[in-house]
Amino acid sequence: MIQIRHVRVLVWLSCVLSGSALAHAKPVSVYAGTIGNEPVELVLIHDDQRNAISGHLFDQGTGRYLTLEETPHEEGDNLLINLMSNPRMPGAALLLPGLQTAQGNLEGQHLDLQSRHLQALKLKRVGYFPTDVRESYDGVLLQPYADGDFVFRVHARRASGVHGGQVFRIDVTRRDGTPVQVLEELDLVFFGSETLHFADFDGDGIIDFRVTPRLRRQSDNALLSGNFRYYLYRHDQGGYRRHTALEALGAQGPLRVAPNGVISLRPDKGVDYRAGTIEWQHYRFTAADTLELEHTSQENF
Amino acid sequence: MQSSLLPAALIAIVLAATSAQSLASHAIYQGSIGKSPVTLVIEHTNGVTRGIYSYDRYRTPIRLKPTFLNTPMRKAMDELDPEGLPVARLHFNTTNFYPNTPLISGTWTDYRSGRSLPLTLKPQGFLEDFLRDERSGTQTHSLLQAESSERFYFQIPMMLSYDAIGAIEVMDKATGKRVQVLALSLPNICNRGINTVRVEQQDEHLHVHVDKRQHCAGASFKWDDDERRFLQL
Repeated sequence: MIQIRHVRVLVWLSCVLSGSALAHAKPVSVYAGTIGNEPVELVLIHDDQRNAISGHLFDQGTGRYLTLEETPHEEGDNLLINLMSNPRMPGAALLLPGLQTAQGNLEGQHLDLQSRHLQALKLKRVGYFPTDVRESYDGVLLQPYADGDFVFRVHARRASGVHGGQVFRIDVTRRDGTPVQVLEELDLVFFGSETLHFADFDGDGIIDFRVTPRLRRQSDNALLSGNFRYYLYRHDQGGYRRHTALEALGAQGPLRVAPNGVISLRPDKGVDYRAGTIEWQHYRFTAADTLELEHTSQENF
Repeated sequence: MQSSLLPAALIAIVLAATSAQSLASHAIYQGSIGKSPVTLVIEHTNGVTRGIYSYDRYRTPIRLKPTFLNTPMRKAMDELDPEGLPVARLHFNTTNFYPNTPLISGTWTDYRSGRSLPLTLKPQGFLEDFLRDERSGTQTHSLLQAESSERFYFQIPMMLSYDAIGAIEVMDKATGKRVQVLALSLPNICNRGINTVRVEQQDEHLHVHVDKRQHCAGASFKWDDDERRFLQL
């Protein structure tokens, strides 16, 4: 029989798990500086549980993103990490001696794997997003998206002792740094480098994104995550706008996005466990603001 | 009694779900890169894959960069040069380095030239972290060590992945023959897989160590030019 203390343990576990659902799971360090003479921005994501480092490098000169290949790393050891030219092959590697989490300055080398050309790397920490709830943060974090014209940065903050960071602003620029749009007065969940989930929802060839809003439950003031909010690029307005029709669809169940602009909804109420069927509703964008049901289908399980 | 176990069990479930795997294993392969015969050793520890390989003609172990091979996209390891920099990439068609994979194929690609050669590997032996059945306990395998000298390479005979260390086999690179067995009696805490033996050139003398650490007394040997063998220090 479950006793009161067991219930307390379950409540504690649910608090831990619900708190973590609203927080980014890995500390993120942001560095700015140069490789040779080229200005770069480096994002290092420390995975304390797996003893691993991953991240991204943004070349400010070319506007090019490169993914860092997730690499085992023990705190304080030298780090040799590949910069992936494509998912299969790296084009370069970074050598960072004696790397510590949240280290202030980074001095190392950049190795071109083909030419074997070594360049000095000098970076200064410009942002740090710890996971320890006792630490606060307030900074700007690049969101990795490798293709397309735009660069996305989120402004996030968290007070000491508070679970979960808040994104209150998103900056959209062109790859050369030209401002495109500032989205302000936001209250979104901060998921580190994965705060913005990118996809071309309407199939217009320009990347869109999805975010998670923060909500306060009135009964106990608990912080919760709301239904996804979708921002789609509007050619006629030259920027991103919320798409309420898509949000309304997303509130009914999980969405699947096809590259041709077809959105498939699996309504939460459309699963028949007795018959072993799942209902799918397939929608298409007929105008910038509207989605129309094209057809339905059934999946057996 | 039962009631006090429940909270602990709940916490254990959460910890088990979030902690990395702690199993260890070694897989030994023979095969070829292009037309050159090679021997490759893959070591899995706590979710990290390490490896070494050597061309059978030269018998100098070449390090592979430690990596995670547990995602569908990740089926490659970097070959490191003596300075520890990546020089080539080994792509495997599978990351299932276990007895149920009879043949591993892939490519070896040189970073400088971009030249690729086919890679094929056939399993020669497996060292698990514990005895899976009675048969697996009867076979001893010599685990190649990552560090070597100009003249020698080293092996440790063992039945389990992290067995107690009873000996280091000193092997001649030129002939591939064993030239000496360094007898030891070290507990399994001293066993660091392919990185157990450390080789050092000190004052023009070749030294071989199993490093001393907590609960491991370690051992050191020095090459004696007169006696033409290693002597324990």
